[in-house]
Amino acid sequence: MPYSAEISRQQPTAFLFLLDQSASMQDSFGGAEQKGDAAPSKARVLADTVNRLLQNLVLRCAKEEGVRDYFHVGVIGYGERVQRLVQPTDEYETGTGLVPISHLADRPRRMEQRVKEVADGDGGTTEQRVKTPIWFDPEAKNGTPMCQALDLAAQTVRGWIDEHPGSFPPVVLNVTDGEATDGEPLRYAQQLREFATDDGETLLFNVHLSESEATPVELPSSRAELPGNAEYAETLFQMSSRLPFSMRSAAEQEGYTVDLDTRGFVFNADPTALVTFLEIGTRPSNLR
Amino acid sequence: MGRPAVTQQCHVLPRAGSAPDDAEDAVALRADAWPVRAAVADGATESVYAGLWAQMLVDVLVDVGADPGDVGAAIREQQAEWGGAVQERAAEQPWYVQSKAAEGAFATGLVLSVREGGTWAAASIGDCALFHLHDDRADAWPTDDPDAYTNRPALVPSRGTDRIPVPETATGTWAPGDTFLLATDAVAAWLLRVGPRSVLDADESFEGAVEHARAGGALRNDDATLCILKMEDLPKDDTRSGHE
Repeated sequence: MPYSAEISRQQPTAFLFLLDQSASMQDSFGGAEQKGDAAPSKARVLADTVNRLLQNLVLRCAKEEGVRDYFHVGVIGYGERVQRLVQPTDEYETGTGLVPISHLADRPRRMEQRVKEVADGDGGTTEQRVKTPIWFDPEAKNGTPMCQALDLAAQTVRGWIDEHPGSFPPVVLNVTDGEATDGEPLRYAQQLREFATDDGETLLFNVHLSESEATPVELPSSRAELPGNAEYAETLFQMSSRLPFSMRSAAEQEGYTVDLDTRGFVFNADPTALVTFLEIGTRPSNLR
Repeated sequence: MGRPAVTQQCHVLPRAGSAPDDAEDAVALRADAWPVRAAVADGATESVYAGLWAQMLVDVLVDVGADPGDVGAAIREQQAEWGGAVQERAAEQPWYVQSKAAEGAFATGLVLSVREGGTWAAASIGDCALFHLHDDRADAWPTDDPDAYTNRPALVPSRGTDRIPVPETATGTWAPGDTFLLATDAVAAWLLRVGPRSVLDADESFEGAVEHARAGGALRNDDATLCILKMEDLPKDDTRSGHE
């Protein structure tokens, strides 16, 4: 059965995040401005969300003796230029641009003190200061060179798959708020998804961040669920892989109704839908 | 009151591909006086210091036995100990160890207490298993369904602010010649499928049987723990033990 490879230190999997850094990411999420909220920009929310997700991925692999390399991770930003936002040092250079999670854990750009609400054991909460790692900061300039980003992703996963042919295939999570400004992304997406391990083709999931107050379309199974006047939604839908079994289970646990055709795609996502989907998309299968 | 006559054998094997120190199951035995007690625990892989917590759990369980009230009180005391032990260890560690240590560790655990008068009692939180082999029977507790081992078990938290699940309990009678087996989840599911006697009566070592069963797909690749207590007919001067 595809997408069932056990994930171990000998047989890790890979997560590659593609993050839109175009100028429109300076705006806040759809609806927030109209309401007069002092809402953070999409770029800020996205950077915070992905930094927190990377932190959670590290914690999933952390043991008292160190971080176990169940995952290799990459982050590519696309806006003013297409760039890797986390870089391996020479010591960890695998030639693929993906970084073992232990390396990521040990080298955040900086640690910030954040205040977190925790349970006090008596039914209430108390504030606790926690150290929070930051790997990259928000950026928002120029256009949306998504095709170039998908092309770099394809090169990245191809090199990684050569080294890990038996692994659960790489998962590429693309987060954008607009249309590609450098060509037709569907072709690049199809090319990317064709690279496969023995366990299945590369998975590409897409999250479109909201421009309006409309309700998000989360994990659609058919085109009929998309808004009628958005050709762009149709393209992203076609670009998106179907969810494999383990992620369908994760989605069901989050309360979604899924079937075999459910795509890893969210259209018009608000911050909550973004966080939930990234959680689902990074639940490949059991760690060993 | 005579000394218990028990032949004991306990094995804790790490999952394949891991170092022996990576095992996060734990076992403890007290067989030199009545009541004879044994406990097994399975530290949850997702937490840090889970092996330490599993060991602290079995240590206290063989001290207190299977009374659910005593078990709850002893776990609360051990939670306080754990906090101190881990704070000290984690203080010098990187952010991810500190962050995860603050979430606490989790483990399942089961304790068996065998009394001199021919009765036994057991208490369990989670999916460790007890087998009682007597006459031609092999009674399994708390379940005899190997498919039940796919669920998320109840867990004993190390953090004092988390709720301790109420232990399940069982009691029964025993006679000399009976054998008790305590197992963590993967071994329990395997024994339920193949029958516990087939493993005990096999010519190969437990380690060899585990290796073959894993290779054949009959045993999930997880830490594998089995503790065997054979209640002998006559008092013996000493007990035999093995701990891998």
